Amino acid sequence: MEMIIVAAIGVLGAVMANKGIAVFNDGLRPIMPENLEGRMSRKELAATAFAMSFGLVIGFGIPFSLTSSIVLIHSIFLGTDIIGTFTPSDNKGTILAGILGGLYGIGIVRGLEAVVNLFEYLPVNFIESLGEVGNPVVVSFAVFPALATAYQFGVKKGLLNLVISLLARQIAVIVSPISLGTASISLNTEGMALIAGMIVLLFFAIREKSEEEGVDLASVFAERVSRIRKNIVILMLTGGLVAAATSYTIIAGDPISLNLAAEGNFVDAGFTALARGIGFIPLIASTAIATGVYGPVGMTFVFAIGFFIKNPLIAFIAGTLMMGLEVIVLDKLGNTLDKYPGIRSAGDNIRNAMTALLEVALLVGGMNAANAIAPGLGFFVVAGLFILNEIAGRPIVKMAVGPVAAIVVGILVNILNIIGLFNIPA
Amino acid sequence: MRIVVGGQVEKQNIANLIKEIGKDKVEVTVKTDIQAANDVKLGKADYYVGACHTGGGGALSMAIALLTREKTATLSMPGRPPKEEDIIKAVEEGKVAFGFTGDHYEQVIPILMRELLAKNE
Amino acid sequence: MDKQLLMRLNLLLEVGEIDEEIKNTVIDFVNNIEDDHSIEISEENGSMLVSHLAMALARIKRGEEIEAIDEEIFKEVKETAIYKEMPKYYSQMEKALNIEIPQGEKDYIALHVSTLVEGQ
Repeated sequence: MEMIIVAAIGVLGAVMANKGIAVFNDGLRPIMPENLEGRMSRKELAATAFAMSFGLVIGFGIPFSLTSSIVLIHSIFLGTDIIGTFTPSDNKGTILAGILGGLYGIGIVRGLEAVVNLFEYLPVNFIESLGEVGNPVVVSFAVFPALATAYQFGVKKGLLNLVISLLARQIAVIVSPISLGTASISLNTEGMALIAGMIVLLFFAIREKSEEEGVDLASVFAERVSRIRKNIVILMLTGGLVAAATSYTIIAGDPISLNLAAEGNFVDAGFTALARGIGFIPLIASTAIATGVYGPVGMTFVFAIGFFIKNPLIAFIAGTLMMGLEVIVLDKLGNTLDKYPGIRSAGDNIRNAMTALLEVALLVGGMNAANAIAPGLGFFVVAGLFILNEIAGRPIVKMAVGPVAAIVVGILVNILNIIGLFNIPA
Repeated sequence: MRIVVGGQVEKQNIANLIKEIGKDKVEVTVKTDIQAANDVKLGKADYYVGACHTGGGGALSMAIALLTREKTATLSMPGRPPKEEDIIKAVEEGKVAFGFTGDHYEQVIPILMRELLAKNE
Repeated sequence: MDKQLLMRLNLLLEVGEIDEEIKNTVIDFVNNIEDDHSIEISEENGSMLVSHLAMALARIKRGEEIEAIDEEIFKEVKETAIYKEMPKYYSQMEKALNIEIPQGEKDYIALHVSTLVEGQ
């Protein structure tokens, strides 16, 4: 039974990533719309997803489970993110994604240590450094409201938004974690910055009186969040399965609740998961509304449900309801935002802001990753490839150059190492 | 054959697996690591089994303290799955306390049980 | 630190697994955390931390290495308040025992401490 649940989770995770309904990697989420809305090709998306997520799954040592029999959910969903984006988005591709996802899920729970060891055979194991590609994404994405404000309402207001977002972020850093009784809630700093930025954007947007609107522009937020709403069923199903699997103590959402559960303290694990979920609400909610792509575990409350409710069937039901609730609330929120004409007309600028930011973030991420793989050489190659790409008429979309170049560097150094032209840095 | 489960993590899972394999040939109890090691010391149990994050530290610390290091064996470590020869050797050498990491218990227990049951025929 | 936890340390001391220095270092560590965070560490919540720490320090002194936790997975533990304070505890221990604690060991210690504090 437990195997079936894990396999099902793998299947759903891969399918949702394949169809752009939900991805687990917070950094990948802002990038999905670029592909879904046609600005980035499937291959470019796959390369980017690979660079961002692969290193997180194949690490050294014990990535999966902190040496217990409970698997950290990251191992499953980061892998299904890759499987989903690598497979084509037509029906055959989706079915393939599902099959691979299911097999992968089972493999992980059975302890895929062999795969980890495989990569150690590479002369220069660059996989882990590759993960650096994603680091700037989440953080810089939090700046998009400020940028959108600038595009729409002028640089001065944009700058103001930026300052406020920054303040919110720093306050969150200092104030976090907040103690609520016996639990401590860690405020996700990017989430706070995002919320602050969006509130400021909203503030300016509300103040704009509705001038004549020639065309009824469905704004970016309502449009995007409706994509999540449309897929509420599969999301609910996944939420329920995750809760059930947690109830069976096969998986956990974070290292600490995992550890508590491994020691048998399920109630403590539940409270930890709950506190963590609360801290994540701003980030998950705002990225969901902003990108129209959700996360397969939603606001992560399904884990707390799984820990508290020891009957997997009841946990399943509670999990599906929780997920459904989250989606409906988000839908309402997204639509509320769009009631304001200011937001509607800012639609294009909001989208542009996100894209512009991602371009910068991924280029920087790509450079960091490449340089981590091969100091000096990395920067050199990425910069060179970026400019060449521009000169060649941009065969690869700007956003994807960073990740692709980083992968190239990884392969390159292995070849050079074999020839004898590259020595592994100390 | 009486086995007591100590260590820090996965205790119930380990106990369940032992019972499943040994059936009526084995009696299993779950206790704190101190109590468990003490049971073996006093002869109230024959073997101690435990898991932790590192395989030897938390799992075996009290067993080492009460039964001496020579009587204990670390059967796996993070990233280093258990090897059958090591388990066979440990039982052969007369070890009574066995430690391993929580994620390897499903690999360790079947082999360990096989060897212990054979030894105690 | 309560009597039972102390007994654990004494047991380990008696058979020579740890020495007097390590025992005192562990006691200081636990006391510091108790004071700084107003929690009481007892056999009930602290047995794992104490066992692990004592054995780890002995291991480090002997020069034995263990494999580290994958950093990405560990990132979350780093979000907790307690993690941010760990460095000062590590240096205290390192100074007291004249050792360098490897990153992998630090991570496991932090994991146990976080679990203890969060589970309160």
